[in-house]
Amino acid sequence: MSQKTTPSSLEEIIKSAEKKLLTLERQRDNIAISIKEKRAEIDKLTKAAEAFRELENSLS
Amino acid sequence: MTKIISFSEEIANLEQAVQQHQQELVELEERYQQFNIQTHDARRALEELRTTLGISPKTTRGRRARAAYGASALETNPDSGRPARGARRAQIEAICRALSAEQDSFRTAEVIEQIRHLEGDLSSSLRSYVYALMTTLETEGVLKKVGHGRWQVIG
Repeated sequence: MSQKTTPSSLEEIIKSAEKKLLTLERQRDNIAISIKEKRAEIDKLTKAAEAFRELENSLS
Repeated sequence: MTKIISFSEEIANLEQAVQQHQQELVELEERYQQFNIQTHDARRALEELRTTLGISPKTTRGRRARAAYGASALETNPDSGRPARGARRAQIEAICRALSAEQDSFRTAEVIEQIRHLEGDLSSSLRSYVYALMTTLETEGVLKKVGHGRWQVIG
């Protein structure tokens, strides 16, 4: 028996797809936050290495 | 007891850590790009599907979306394509205050999610603006950073 797709059921399908899409977009935004944090970490470590180099030079 | 610090060893360790983080950063950026393209395409396809089926889109010009947070989608100037001066900032502040009233602290991603809900879509420049504004609001004493990447409204 075939089932007819009504406009309201189509809307339900679209709503469900939008919900899934929102979850994906949230995941993407969380990745963006991780990228920001990772860049800050790299910056911190690079500055620390630079400070060590300067200290080494000034003591030698 | 004397502790001997080897500069070259410390520097080598730090440089190794930087390299490792840089590799991870590249992977994260690739993942972000992939997600960004996929979600953008999917959102456009959904909007097209809605239009084709004659189902009203989530956000329309005639009926602006309003979140439970009291903030609403912004009207844009047709010439510049931008909202009125200060309107975006006020919208973001309103979202921050509402989120803060609901929970102890909130993340920038939650603010972005609210704007996306209100506006129907979110450009990368607007996302960058949100991040920048959060820092400005912190400097102005409106927001306080608590924990890791979380905010509280104090002003």
